[in-house]
Amino acid sequence: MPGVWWFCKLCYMKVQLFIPCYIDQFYPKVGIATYELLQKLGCEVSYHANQTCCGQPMANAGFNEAAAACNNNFIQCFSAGHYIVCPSGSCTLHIKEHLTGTDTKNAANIRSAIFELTEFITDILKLTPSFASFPHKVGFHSSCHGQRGLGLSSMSELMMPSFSKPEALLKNIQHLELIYPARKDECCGFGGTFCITEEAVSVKMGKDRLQEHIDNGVTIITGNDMSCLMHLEGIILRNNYPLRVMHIAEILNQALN
Amino acid sequence: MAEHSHNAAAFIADEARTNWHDETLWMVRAKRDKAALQLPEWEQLRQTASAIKEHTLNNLDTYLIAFEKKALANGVHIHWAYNSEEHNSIVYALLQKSGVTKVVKSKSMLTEECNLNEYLLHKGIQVTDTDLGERIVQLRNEAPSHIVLPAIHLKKEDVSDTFHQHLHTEKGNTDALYLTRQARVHLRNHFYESEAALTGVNFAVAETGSIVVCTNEGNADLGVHTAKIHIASMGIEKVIPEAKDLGVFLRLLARSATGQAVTTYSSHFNSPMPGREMHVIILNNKRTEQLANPDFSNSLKCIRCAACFNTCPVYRRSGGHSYHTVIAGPIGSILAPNLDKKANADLPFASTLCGSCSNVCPVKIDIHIQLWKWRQVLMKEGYGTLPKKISMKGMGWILSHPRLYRFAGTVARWMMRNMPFVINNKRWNIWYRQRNMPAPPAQSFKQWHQKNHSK
Amino acid sequence: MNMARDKILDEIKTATSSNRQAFTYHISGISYADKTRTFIQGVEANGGSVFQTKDKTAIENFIHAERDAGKNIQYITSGQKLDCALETLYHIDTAVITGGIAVAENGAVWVSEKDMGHRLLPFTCKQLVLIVEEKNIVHNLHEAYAAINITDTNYGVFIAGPSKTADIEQSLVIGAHGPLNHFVFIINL
Repeated sequence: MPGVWWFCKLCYMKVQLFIPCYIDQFYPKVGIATYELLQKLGCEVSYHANQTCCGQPMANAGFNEAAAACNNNFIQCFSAGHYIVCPSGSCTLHIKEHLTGTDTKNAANIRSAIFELTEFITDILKLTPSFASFPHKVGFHSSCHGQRGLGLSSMSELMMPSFSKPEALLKNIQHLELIYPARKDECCGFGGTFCITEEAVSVKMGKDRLQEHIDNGVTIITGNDMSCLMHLEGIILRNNYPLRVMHIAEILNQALN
Repeated sequence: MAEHSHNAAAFIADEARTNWHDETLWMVRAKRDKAALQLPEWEQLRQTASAIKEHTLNNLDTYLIAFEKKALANGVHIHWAYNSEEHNSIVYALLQKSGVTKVVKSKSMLTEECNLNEYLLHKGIQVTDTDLGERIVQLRNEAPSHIVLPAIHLKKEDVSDTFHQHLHTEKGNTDALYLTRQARVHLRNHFYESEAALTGVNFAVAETGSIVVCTNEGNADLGVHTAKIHIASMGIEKVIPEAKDLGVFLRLLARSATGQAVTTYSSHFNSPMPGREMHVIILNNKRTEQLANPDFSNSLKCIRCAACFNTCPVYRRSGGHSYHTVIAGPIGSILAPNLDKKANADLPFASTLCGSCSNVCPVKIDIHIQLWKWRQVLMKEGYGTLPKKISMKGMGWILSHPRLYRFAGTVARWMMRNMPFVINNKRWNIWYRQRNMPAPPAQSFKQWHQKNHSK
Repeated sequence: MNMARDKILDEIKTATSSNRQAFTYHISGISYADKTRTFIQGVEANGGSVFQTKDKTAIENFIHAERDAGKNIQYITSGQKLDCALETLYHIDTAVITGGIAVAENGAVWVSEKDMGHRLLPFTCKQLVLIVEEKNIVHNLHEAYAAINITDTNYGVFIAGPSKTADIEQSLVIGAHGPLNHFVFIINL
């Protein structure tokens, strides 16, 4: 039977899945991979069909108040009291830092119960699964909000011991060669509405990021945030770069087959 | 005045030059990292500096009064200026009283903030900026683009041309050593002839009434020790409690700014030489308003190191002039709106909120959080465009109605699959100018889940 | 302008009235296994040169050599005041000055007005020579500020090397407006 793998610790946990709006609409395969991955790791996954968005696009554009009704909808969808897992660092961070609503109690519960996918696996499930082969040279893109906001990994600016939760999972995948770009954690330039309002800078930042990956000879770029990867993919396709993007959920899920 | 995004696009149009500007400043960031790595206590130093500054800001009146008292006892004249007009008037009055017409000035962003040079020029007083970078931009009639490296946006060829025009250096000689030596001779004449020296203040020590000025070139000291009058301008936030605090700040300042362990000169001025005058002007210029705002008050901790500039991927690719304000970069974007909301409403948006700036800040200003907060303030007070307001409210409405959201998503994906020419349009779809759209999937995650896993 | 003073202080008082707290801190900086060696490396990294010597003989030899080479050299003894025209100061080639505390972490030497003859001298000369006693080398700037009293003098300066600039396309040039050369003699008595 292909892909035999081992648990370090068996788990059986109820989680609610939060799928960001742009993954829901444009990258459902990432949502599917997240769903399947959590199930394989022993979680009972539920998904509330009325969820829409975390409200970040409005909030970061300076219209936090326009997200009020969206927030209330979010609270309604996620009040079951379970852990909430999301394949996005920036959406997770936004909920943690900014979710408020008329139901203040559940808002507070949600803020403490929501986790990004990789930190959920390493910190809550406390699993370090062994994965089967994924024989590719993979470049890692460190998404800012997950890294600096959630603390998914150490930061190049701070004098601190080096660690990375996503890397801890990826390095257990056989034959996966993980390579960091020269500027280990520089921003890709997506930045929410920034990608439109400062289009020139946004694309330039993305191109520069991609050049470093090209220089490293990687074939796949991965990371924790599909928004970054969507922006990079747009540039890759326009310029025919020899690269593709895969969300870390997709790699982990595929390697767990 | 054009917005940052417009200026940035113009800057980036010269991609080779943008790459050069970006690489040059990234190297300064890298030097900072290397220097910080040498000190195991680096993060503790940052925390200490931040705490000292916060304590000082919380007791600012006490410390300013103490500083004034000591400085007066040392024979230093203290002046208070409520705004930049008053500041400039005070400077002019002091110069006029002594019949001064030639002034040398070492780096002071505050005097830029007050537009002092232009003011004095109109009054018939010649001001020579003596920091080499500032002198270069002064000769070119440009503003500095970086608060520590004023001419970072210029190449050797630019400097060579400027020096050839104004200092009569050899045409086409771009050797940095040659050009610096020529500038040395030229500026030495100015130092020698100067009647008054203007400086900034890096730190004003309340305990002793001293002011500290840090330079690599020695230009502050050459001016001050030659001229009969020394006028030092400081913002109210420059005071620190005790001399021992200088240990904390001087260990952080140069390492954060350029990766040096310390600037070549850290000059401590207590009293003027006999027969000479020393004046310190304490300027407000709306700093008390920033101080009164709990969301933004700790931006006043800034020690003007520009580490945030060097790490900012947006600054590096757009250049200081794109920010159309005296202090550019991340810190500038949270200081400038306080000075003029209308003119600077675009600046907090010239950022992806990546957070790198907050991490390099030696005094731990939460810059990226303040950028977000300024966005809320500015949009609430009506500095956003009407289309933006409408689209954000519209978005908020759709995203709070699950059925409407699902419908909108389905329509969007259908259009992308069946009417690609509508979406894939460079004219009105800004994303599409340089990026492809994501491939529109046949079903959303919701639809997949509904089909496969709904009970 | 007292009106401005009162207005500013009033606005500050109003802005900060709720936050007044006492504050102390303790920080001990980095220590080196060999602080003399670290100090020397610091000066050299800044573009200066260091000579280690037992006593002042080497310095006196240096001064004689400079004079023989026709250089206009001033050797300032502590407390000596250099009372001369500005023009003279601007034409001094070499200044030999006694420094106080020296800081290993950054190569800086504290020079007090009392020891520099004239405040301009360390800046106008082409070559600055500082004499440092090895026992005055401390590990870091915290120790330096604990050891000196910055108000013992009307003017004092930490000098860490020759003047320099990188303002022309980040090309480092040693010798900007101030001295072009920087020497430190460490005396180990």
